[in-house]
Amino acid sequence: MKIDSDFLPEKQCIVIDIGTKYTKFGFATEHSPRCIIPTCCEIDGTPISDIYTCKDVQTLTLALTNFIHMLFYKYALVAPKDKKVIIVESLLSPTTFKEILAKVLFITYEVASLCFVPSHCASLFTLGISTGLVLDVGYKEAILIPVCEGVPVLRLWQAMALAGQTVENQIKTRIDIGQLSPDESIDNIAEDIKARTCFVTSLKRSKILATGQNVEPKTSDVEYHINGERSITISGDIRETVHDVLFEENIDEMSITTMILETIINSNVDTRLKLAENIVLIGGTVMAKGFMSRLKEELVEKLKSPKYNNLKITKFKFHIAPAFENYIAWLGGSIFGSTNNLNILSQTRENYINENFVPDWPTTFTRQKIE
Amino acid sequence: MASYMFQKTITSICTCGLQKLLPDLFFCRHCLTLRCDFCVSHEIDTTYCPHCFENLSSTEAKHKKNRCASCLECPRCFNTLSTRSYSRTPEPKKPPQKMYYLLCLFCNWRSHEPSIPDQPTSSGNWPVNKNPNDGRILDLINHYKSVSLKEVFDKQKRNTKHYGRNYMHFLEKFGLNAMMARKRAGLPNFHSDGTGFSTSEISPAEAIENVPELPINIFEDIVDLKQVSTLEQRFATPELQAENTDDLFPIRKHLRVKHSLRCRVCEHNVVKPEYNAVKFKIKHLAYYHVPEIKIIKCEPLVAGKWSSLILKLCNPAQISTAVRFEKLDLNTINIIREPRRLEGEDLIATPKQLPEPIPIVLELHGDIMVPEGEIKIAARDDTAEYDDTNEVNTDNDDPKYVYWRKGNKVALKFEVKPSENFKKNENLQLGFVMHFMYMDTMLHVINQKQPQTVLVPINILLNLPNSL
Repeated sequence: MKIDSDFLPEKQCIVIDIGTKYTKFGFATEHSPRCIIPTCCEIDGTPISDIYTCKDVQTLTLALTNFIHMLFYKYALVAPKDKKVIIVESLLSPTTFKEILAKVLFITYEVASLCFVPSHCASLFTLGISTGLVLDVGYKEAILIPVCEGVPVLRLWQAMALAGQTVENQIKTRIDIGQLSPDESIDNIAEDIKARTCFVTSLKRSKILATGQNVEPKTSDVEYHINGERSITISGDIRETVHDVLFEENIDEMSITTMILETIINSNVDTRLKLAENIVLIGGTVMAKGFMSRLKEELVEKLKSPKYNNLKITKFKFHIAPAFENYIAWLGGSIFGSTNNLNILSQTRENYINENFVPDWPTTFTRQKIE
Repeated sequence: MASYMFQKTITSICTCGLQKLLPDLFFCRHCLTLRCDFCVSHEIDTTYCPHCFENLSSTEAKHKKNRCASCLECPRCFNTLSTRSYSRTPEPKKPPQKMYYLLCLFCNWRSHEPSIPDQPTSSGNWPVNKNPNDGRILDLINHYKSVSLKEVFDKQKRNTKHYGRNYMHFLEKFGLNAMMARKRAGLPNFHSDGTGFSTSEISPAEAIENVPELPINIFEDIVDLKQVSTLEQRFATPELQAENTDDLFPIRKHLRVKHSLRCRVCEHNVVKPEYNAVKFKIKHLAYYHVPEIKIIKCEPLVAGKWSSLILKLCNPAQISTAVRFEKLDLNTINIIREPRRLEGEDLIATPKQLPEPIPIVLELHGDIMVPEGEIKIAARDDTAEYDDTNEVNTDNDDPKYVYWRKGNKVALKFEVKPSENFKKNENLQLGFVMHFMYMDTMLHVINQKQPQTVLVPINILLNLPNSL
């Protein structure tokens, strides 16, 4: 058998990005995740569809234990004992979740070391830049954290519940899906409709459609089959406008567009231009066709309003990473895992058992280097 | 038949606190207690392909990215693809040549769809799809590797200043051993003075202003949903995520593993599969040791009234056993968990921090009267069914509790009383403790002592349906 440089006696490092909807999982130094699977598990036969909504410590521990078990023994096919683990997580993910995850990994699965990498910073590794405005539009919420010279500027964070779920709710209310048999889930159908038929229309068309007029060319309707038995018609208007909810302003005049502008206006004058010209979009929802161009149009349009008139910004520039948007953060974690810094910044099991806490930031304090 | 195995009418509480069915439980012969798949540690024994059953070593599996080299999966419906052949005469004079292609027998997908050329060999060197961004990501990885190495180097350089005139430390860093270690790890050599250490330069990504617009024909084009891949199909190959079903490539079959299970407390194996066979070297399932309980008859349940419940106990072991019953005490249920202290040679590893036991939260809806005294159950005898005489000694049985007796089975009378506020159409949850006699042969093996009988307590929960 061929033996090449991949066969280092070194411990394998596993990178996990637990999203609200999909979990990205793979090995460090690899170029794409091994699998993207729904974040759900079973406790004693009852399915838990969203691990993040488990509030009870006991259920969360059980859910995470089962989920990690599935990841390691069904997909990674390695025993987690004495492996290094990188968790790519959002800076806004709850502390209890992080603590319980660390406890499950260190105590139940006896991993050698664990490192929590903030997803917004990790995403910049895939581009080779150190400053950028990172907008993560996932399933539950859109989170914006600018990163300056590798340091996330937490003061300027913005988060709104405008993401894939909002779009799916639009589909559920605007399309009459009808009666479903018990083994079909309305969430799955809405997600399927969103991913396979919908796109983000241009600003011009959206404005005309909002007034109730017809646009030319008219978007074609789609026949959607449910379970191969009956079919529903998804009208062209719905196909192009379901994503518009992300750009509609709420009563506080906030939308994804104004999130970006608010961050820029609140940031240091010297970094404003740099942030506006280094926008990085990550997360599954930004993969919708036309999302990026619509966001750009919206930003340029909004710039004309009196509130943002004095920003002195004329253009916005977007980065395109060498990966699909839904696993950019994972890829950042994988690149991080290939460097030597992993050994310096990870928390070891001995350290965790002695100190019995997880540090908020991966720092070198209170821990010795692992080899 | 299978559904009876999954009915959660009678569950046992595992030592970790979870409620499990008897077939799902293991019995650790060193700790003398129940374990379930949640509270044992899983180890990977062998990796195999679920289709061709080829066993792979762990390094081989790692090298092949946990995918089987020969079996392929349909990218559309994820069933196994089969290889089909046809004869072709490329030129009139030459003998016909056999060509092979892939076909999914379930959904009729064929390898012509993503225009994979037909192969002349049946094993087929089916093309492996490549990530188009491989080069760029490799550059990024190398860049960040060298940046982080430079950091380490700079730190070391700062430290070496204070060494004075002693050069011994250089031997450690630049000596032959260090060089070999670096070479093995695939890292570049340090330059002799360290100043020449350079990071590989990469061009940072350029942001673009002219972002990709929507294609013009997207509005009017008729969408054929058969041509648009689902998310599941896209995520099966994360690096490609093709949106058109014509661009889907066959997927190599993902491997599976055989687990070997180990008790976390005493570090002894509970289950160990045999290599290359669907058998086990060690399998300490609770099903082979603990008497199985089944419900035979239950009188209608009425709130506040006693009704009789007949349970059948079946001894699966080759030695006769005895059972004793006790009421379940909710106050002490969370206090004593591990029934046995391990000592001496039983303990093969130093004790370590174990996951916290799960607190048992129970609510009992009534009262139960359990048979008093010890009830013997005969050993399992596989020849018993050929024995016509089939005489069982029932002299010592108290007819108040023993309903009938046959071979290694005994039916026992229990009395249950639902509490006053018990509602109809609600399951009646009751519990009791069953102590059963277990012949501990492990002591004999390790300490050369005589086998001892030990009473093992097991918490049983009844969840009686009351839908009538």
